[in-house]
Amino acid sequence: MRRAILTIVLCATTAHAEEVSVVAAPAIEVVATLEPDVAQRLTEVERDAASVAPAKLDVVLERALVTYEATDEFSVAQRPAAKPRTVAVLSTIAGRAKAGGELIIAARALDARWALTGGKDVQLGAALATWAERDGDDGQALYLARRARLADPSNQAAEQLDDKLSTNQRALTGRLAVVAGIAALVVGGYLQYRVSQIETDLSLHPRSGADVNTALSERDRDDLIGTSLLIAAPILTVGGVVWMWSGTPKSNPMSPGELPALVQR
Amino acid sequence: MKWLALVLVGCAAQPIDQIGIACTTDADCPDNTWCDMNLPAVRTCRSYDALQPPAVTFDGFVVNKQVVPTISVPTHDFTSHDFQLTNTGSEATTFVTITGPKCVYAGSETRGDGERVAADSTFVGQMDTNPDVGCASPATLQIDIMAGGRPFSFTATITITP
Repeated sequence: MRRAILTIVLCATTAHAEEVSVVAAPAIEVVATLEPDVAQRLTEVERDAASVAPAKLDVVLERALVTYEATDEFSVAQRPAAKPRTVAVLSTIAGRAKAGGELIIAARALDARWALTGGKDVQLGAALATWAERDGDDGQALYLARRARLADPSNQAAEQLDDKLSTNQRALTGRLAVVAGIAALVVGGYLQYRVSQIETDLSLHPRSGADVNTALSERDRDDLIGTSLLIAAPILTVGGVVWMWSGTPKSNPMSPGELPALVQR
Repeated sequence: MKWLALVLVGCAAQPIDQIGIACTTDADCPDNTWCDMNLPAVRTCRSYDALQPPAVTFDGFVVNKQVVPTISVPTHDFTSHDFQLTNTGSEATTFVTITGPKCVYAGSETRGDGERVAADSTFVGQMDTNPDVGCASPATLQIDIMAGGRPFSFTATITITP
């Protein structure tokens, strides 16, 4: 009996010292699949995107983005699964709209695609830059140019348009005019000083008539130039300031109603 | 500070007459100006538009308030005679010197420090003679006038009566 108890205690002690390893169950894999109604909608959108007139593609575009604009849990859960087909159909819409001359619809489709995929989008940059160049509203053009630069930082047209609309194009010429005005004031004042010096000298020392005529000619020339510069100085200075002020960008970036094409919540 | 005032005025050049161009003769003055030598210490160029230089002429002798070209003077008798000058220019301090053959003893009686002859006016001065006996007649007098620093020379003939 004692031996049996000893054996039990020994076995219990040994078992207590070893680690217990349990083989874990395999991870639960969530396979994203499209629900039938979402798949059906995408199928219809794909069909319409390939068939409707370019001018009507905006309606197709809106339908393609329903899954991403709806905020219910079901739609949100479907977004990852729907993404590849949505991106593809947005590309189709953009291509057909562009070919059909519907620049804004094409830009919206590309903009929505960019919102889904992120990263650099050369096509969107080009479309927004073209839209910005055609837009008559400076605020909207500035927004479009900056958004185009976000999508494609290497887009030269967007960069130039952004610079043109957001920087004072008259700053350099205005500053030059102000500097020229100050220079005219200094030079004009100096020439007038020389005029008075010549006259003082003439009154102090007799000299030949020819020399006097020469000195007076010099004085008249200095007086003419000096007076002209003194007249020009305030005109240049004030004109330069006004010119600079008039070139201050007055428009703030303002998004057109069509953009952003997709706002996910 | 002066130049700043000139800048504010805008035009610094002064007219010729206000500059006071120093001169010693007309040749020292620019075109269309003349040297005003009336005050020897302050000789400046003046424009013809503003002022004309003194221009003095000897009109002749004044006899019975009439100007005549010649007069008769008695021999061996000190007599005084009037002569007339006309200044068609600006006012000038005028010095008159009359010289002739020594035997005539002709001389000017005008002030030694100069007579002020106004602009565009006539001036009547005095001269005297005291010819010696046997002095040749007629005699020619040299009349030298210095008006405003400008020399003018004339001659006049007088007859010496026995």
